[in-house]
Amino acid sequence: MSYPQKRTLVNIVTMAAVYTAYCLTAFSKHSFAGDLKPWAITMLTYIGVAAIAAIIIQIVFHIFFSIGVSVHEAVKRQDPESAEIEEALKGALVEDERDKLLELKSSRANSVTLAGGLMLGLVSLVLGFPYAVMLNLIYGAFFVGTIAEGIVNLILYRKGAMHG
Amino acid sequence: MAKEIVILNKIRELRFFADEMTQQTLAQKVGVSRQTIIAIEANKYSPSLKLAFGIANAFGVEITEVFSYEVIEVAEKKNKKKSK
Repeated sequence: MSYPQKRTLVNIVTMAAVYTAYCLTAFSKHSFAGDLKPWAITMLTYIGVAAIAAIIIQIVFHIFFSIGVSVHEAVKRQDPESAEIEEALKGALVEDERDKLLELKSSRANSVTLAGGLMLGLVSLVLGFPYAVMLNLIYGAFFVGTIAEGIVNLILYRKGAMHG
Repeated sequence: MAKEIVILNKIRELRFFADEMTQQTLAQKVGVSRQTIIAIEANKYSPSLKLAFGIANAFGVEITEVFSYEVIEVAEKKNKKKSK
């Protein structure tokens, strides 16, 4: 598994964990029939949590990945020079045109999920569900969309993708 | 019936004749990941023109010696995939 694939996997796990934490907190604390303000406060809090968690986890992942590559190289080459380790690290961390193409293609999954979430939210209003249900459907679509994007990205890495 | 262009390559063969150059070495020469070279070799990814020229340059040959194409019918392509 390459660096971008592992990073995508870490991102999926982070988003899933943050969204699970949100669900456990929000659904136990707030009522769907009540005011929207407490929901909005919790949602904003978890957007901040998601952003900070994503940054910290990516940094930690990058450090561990670099250590892993360096150790692997040291074991493989038996006392390598630092330039050789740096070269191996550079090779392992490279992101090229294929990574960008797959990222672009998988971002469609995110857009589709977001649109689906918005539609479901509107349908819930039409069916007479409380406003909090609509808000949660749209909010959930952001997380599910990011997770779906990551999953599609990993599938495309396995399956392959062509231009066009 | 619709026709489609399939891009083929001889990277594996050229690597063999270049002192069994590793995929990692070729990847480093052209500035991509080893996974991208693997995907190109397996016809799972068509490189950009820039990368295609870069690969040809790494072997010191013309681009046409590395990449070629085949025009096939869409149904024919499906059959080819099945036979793989």
